[in-house]
Amino acid sequence: MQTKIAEYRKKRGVTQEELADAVNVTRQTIISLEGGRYKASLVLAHKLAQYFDVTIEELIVFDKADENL
Amino acid sequence: MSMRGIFCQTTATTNEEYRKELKDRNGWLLFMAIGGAGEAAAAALAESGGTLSIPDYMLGVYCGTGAGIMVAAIVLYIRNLFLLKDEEKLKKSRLENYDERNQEIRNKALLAAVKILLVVCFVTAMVGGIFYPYLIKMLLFVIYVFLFSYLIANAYYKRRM
Repeated sequence: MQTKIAEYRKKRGVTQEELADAVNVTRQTIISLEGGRYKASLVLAHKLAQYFDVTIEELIVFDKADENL
Repeated sequence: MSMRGIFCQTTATTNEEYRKELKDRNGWLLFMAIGGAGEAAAAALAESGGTLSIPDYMLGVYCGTGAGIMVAAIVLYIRNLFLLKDEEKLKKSRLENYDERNQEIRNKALLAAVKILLVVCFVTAMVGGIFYPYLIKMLLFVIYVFLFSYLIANAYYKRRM
């Protein structure tokens, strides 16, 4: 699984702190998500997708075999 | 901070909800402080009176744990009062307790600690039981209480999820 959170965030010109505030998490969680060390819950993924106005699949790439049917 | 987090997880998504939660929590902390003070005072009185047949070292333990609970509760109470007055610190504290990654870290740490505790209890019971037979009964009782609590909690969450 890879995320495009950093890419979308930079495109929008928001800081990690601002994004963290918007989705009610700590900045450390955003850092971990961007670094691929933490997998977001469905609710957080939904919030992030809503924030960037994209679908969850556009924001998070499920590329591993066990992540797909 | 991490240890406190075991008891301080929150579902509050706004500062207002968290403020209310902290006020409720402060009520419990006051109750704990009074309980701790009562325990310590009762132990100190019993020690000075010397009429009870409780060993001195146990009175010392009661006094120490009572004072410890009282001090911890007062410190947390004061900390919460400061948080309630500062909107920015309140928000920071709420996010730290609400954050799903922090909650997952706490749950994983708790699970690891429980596993270690169970193994230590079992090994201590098996080895210590050779020298102190009472130890094996007590530690196995603790392990049985854990397993029984786990089964109850498991059944409860199976119904809820």
